[in-house]
Amino acid sequence: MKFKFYIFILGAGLSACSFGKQTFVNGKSIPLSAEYPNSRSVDSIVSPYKIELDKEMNQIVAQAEVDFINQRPNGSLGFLVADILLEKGKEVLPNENMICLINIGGLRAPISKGNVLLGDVFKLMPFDNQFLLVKMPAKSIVDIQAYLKKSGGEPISGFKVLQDTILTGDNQVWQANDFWVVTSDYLMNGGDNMNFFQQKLEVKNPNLLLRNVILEGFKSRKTLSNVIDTRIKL
Amino acid sequence: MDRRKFIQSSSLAFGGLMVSPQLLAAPNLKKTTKITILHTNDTHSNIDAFPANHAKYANQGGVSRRHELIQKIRLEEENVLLLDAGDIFQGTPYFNRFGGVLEMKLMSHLGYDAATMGNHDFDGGMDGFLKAKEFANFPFLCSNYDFKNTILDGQTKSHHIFEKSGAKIGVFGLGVELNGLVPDIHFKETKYLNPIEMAQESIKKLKEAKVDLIICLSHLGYEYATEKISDRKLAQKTDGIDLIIGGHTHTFLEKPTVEYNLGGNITLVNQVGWAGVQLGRVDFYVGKHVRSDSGLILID
Repeated sequence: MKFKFYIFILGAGLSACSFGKQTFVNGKSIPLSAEYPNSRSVDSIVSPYKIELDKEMNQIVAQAEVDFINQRPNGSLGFLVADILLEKGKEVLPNENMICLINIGGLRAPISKGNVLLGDVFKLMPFDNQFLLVKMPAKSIVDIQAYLKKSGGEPISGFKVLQDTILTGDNQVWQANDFWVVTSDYLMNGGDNMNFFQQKLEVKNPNLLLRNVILEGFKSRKTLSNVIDTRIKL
Repeated sequence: MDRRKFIQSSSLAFGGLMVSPQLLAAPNLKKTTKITILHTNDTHSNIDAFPANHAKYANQGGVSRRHELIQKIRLEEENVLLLDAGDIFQGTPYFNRFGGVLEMKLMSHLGYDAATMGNHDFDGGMDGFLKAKEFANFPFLCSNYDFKNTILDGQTKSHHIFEKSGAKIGVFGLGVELNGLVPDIHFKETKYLNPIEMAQESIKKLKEAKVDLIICLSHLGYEYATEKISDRKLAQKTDGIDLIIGGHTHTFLEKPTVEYNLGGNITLVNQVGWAGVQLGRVDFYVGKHVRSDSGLILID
């Protein structure tokens, strides 16, 4: 139907129908696949940076048994990371009622099956976000529940939101007590409109980067196994 | 818009009754100046192509290949503008270790003509951006960030006019609300101005300068479920933009989205996902170097 668009001229062009004044347009997106060769000039600019970076970033830190990707409401990548962060939180503050909540938008790249390199951890979490422990009043869990239902799901650990029911990570009834949330400074400061963090009672900052906690978790696990769980039902 | 659809369908139904034969012929593009717009957005420090085992984009992207593709197009086309809609920084260790210097060096080498700032271009702080920008030989266009009282004051422009074979192309930039997206310490006293108002102001200035095309580099995002301003809303609520090159939402579009602006004419919205896995291309055939108020005409 090549000609159908020309008819638009009638809409506004009746009085100024001189053809030369018209502007025609077409557009498309061109995928950059492997069929294009590499550019020598670009590669020579990149090379000194790449050599320096590769020395550091190509270290293998773990093996992934599957591809870990972001998905809503439940995603293996988000749960893997949230589980690691919660474990660290419980190490910092043992015997506390604790959950983890981060944001799906903060996990910037998948972890692909096979060797996991230090560089992959940087791509997953490029931001220099701080690892925080935030103490929240009991009532805040309802606001977190509402947020998760509205956003469609975020990476969580240590609790479940199954429609109107809130459970602990191991499927016990959620007790209405004050609780700690492992999260990032970005989210605690209102990032992604997580405004419920304004209700916070206390903040502990052990001066750790989220990325380094994730890295430590990957290294100690050695093998990253799939996390299949239903933690959120909308 | 409904009226136009009616005209379109009725014209097809009644054929020559309403349409002069001249208009039904293929457009005579010989009398026009062809302007080829190439664009990227949200490249996020993806210098290298994705590796072969990548879960989503195996063997795609890479600045090196992008350079080759652009060079190939430059050999074929006389009038090329290469533009970027922001979020150049953040996403690979290249940014963590070198602060965006390599990204700027490469964009300059590829011959970028202009870019706008995305929220992540503040991730190294404004001083970090400024340090990297020393290696950029193209302007940053930001019409709705007021950088007065910050170190970026005077470092960006609201708009810029390019001339290609006698055709004038006006380009201006729009950025996303930084509050809640970027830590305060990174944007300090930067004021976020209303994007629609600033767009109208830029359009007015560009029309006064008698440009043939108006292009907006936007980091507002393609569309939202809420009332938040987006590229699609911007297109509908302004009058005079021919093409919005968007970013921020990492939206992959096969071809530009057609919106109708306040003047009832077409404003195209395009975006090519992220990480440089695609290059956007929009070809304009500008007639007689007189700004056409009868709007754009789409061709296949």
